[in-house]
Amino acid sequence: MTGGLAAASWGSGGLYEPVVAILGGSAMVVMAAALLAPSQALAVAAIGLLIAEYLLSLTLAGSGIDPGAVIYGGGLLLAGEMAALSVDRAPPAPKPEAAVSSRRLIALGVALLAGMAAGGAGLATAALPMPGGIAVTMVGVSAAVGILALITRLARSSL
Amino acid sequence: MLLAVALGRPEPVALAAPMLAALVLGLGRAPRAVITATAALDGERRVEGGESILSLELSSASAPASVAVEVALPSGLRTKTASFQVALAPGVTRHLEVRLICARWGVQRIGPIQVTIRDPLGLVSRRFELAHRLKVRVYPRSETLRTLLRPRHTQAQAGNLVSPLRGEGIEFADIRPFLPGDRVRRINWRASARRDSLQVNVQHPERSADVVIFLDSFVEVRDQDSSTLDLGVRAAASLASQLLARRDRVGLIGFGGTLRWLVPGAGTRQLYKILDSLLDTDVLPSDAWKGLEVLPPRTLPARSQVIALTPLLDGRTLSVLSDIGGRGHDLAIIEISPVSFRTEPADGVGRLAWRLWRLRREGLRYRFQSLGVPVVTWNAGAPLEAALREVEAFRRYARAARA
Repeated sequence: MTGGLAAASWGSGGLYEPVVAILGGSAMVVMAAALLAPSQALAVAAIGLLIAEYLLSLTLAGSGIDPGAVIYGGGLLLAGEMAALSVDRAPPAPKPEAAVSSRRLIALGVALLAGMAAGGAGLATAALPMPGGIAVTMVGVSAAVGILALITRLARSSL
Repeated sequence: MLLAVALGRPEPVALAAPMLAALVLGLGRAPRAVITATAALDGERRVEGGESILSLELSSASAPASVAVEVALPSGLRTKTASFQVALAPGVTRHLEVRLICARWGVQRIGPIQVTIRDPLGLVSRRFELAHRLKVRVYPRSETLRTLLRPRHTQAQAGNLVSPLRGEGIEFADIRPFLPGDRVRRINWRASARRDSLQVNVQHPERSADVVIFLDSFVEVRDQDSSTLDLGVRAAASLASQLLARRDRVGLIGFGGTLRWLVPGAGTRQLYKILDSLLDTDVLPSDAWKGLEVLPPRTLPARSQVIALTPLLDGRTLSVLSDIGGRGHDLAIIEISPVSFRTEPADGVGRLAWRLWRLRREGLRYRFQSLGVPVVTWNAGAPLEAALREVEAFRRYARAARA
C-alpha cells in the first residue's frame, strides 16, 4: 500500500524527481521498519514522509487541481490504519475477537467514506469559478480553526 | 487545512479529510461505558505442577465497548494467554478463563489485572486496575520416599520406630528372670521350663524421634528452570511429610538472610506449618555473621536428628553445621550440588579455577566425613531416596571402620 502511494507521486517532479523518489523510497523503508520493529512512531513517520512526497510533487506539478488527492487521502488513512493494526496485533498481543475487529472495520469504512466525500466536496467547491480574495481566505481560515476547535472539544470531553 | 490556506491549493484539504473524519469519529465515540470487572480463583492452594483457573467477569451497564484485559503473572505461574480483547454488549456478562499452571512453589501473587476500554478505532482508551489482588499458595511437590534415615536416638513419645532400648513393645528383644511386679502374660513358659525358673520376655518399645530439617538459604545457584534452593525446599517438604507420617516430631530451621524456625511437633497441623514456612523461603543477601547462638534452644532438642539440606557454599552454614555435629546431634548433610547447575569453562584459566573449586569442595566434604558426619552429594534430577540410602551406607561403613 505504501509503495503504491509512493509510486503515485512519481513522474511529475521534473528536475526534482530524484527528491520525490527519495522521499517515497524512504517512506517505504520506514514503513517496513515500522512493521518489523513493530513501532507506531515509525509508522507515523512513514505516513509523514508520504504526505511530504505528495505535497512536493503537487507543488512541482503546476497550478491545476489534482482530483486524485481524494483517493490519495483515503489511501493514506488506509495505509496508516493497516500499519496500526499490524503493530497492535504483533506478538505477544492477544488476537482480538471477531466482533472487535468488525467494529474497527466498520468505523474505518465510515471514516473513509465520510472523509473522501468531504474531501471531494472541497475539491469540487474549489473547482467552481468563484472570485478569490480576503473574504474567501478568511472563510478558509475560519473553517480550519473551527475544525481544530471541534477536535479539541471532543478530545477534552473524551479524556 | 491551514496548509491548504498557506499554499493556496485545495488538495491538502482532500488529503486530510479522511484522517480528520477518523479523528472526529474516534473522539466522538470515545469509551464512556461503565465497566464492571471481577476476578476470582478456583482455589488458593495448589501443588507444584497443578492447575488453577482464574475466572474474569466483565460487563458493561450502558454502552457497547471494546475491552482489553491484561493479567500480569509471576514467573512461577504459566499460561498460554494472559490477555484478551473482547467486545462487550450492554447488559451481557462475559466470562473469561485463564488456565494457570503452577510451575514453581511459593506464594504466587497475581496482578495487577488491567482493563482497558477503547473506542472502535483505538484512538482513545481508558484504563483501570482491579483493586483486589489474588494469590495462590503453591506447595512444593513431594517425592515418595520408601526409606527414611534411621535416627540414632529415639525420644520418650510413642511412635513407629523400634527403639534400641528395652521395655514394653512388640518386637522381641531378650528374656530375663521374673521380678515381682512383672505381668503374668509376659512370662515365657518355654524358656521358664528349660531354665527351671520363671523367665519373662523383654521387648523393644516403639518410639518416635525428633528430626530437625535444616535448610540453608544463604545462597543459591540456579539455571533457567531450577535452583539449589528449589531442590532444597522440595526435599524438605518430602522429608517432612514422610517423617510426620512415621509419627516423628519434625522441626524446621531455615538458615539464611532471614532466620526461620519451627520447634519439633507432630501431626498434620505441623506439616502445614512447615509447608507454609517453606513457601516464604527466599534468598536474601546478608553479610551478618550468624552462628548457632541465634537459634532458640528448643529448636534443637537433645538427641535429635538433624538433616541438613545445603549447597555447602556459605561459611556461616559450615560453621553452624560443625557446631551441631560437635554437640552430639545425629547430623546428616545432603549436599545439593551446585556443580550440576554450572558448566565447566572452556578457557584454560577457567578450567583450572573450576578444578580448584571442585577440589576445595571435595576437601570440605572430607572434613565433615572425618568427624563422622555423613555428607552425600545430591544432583538435580537424581532421586532424593538415593541420597538417603547413601547416608545409611556411610553409617554402616563408618560403624564397621570404628569396629
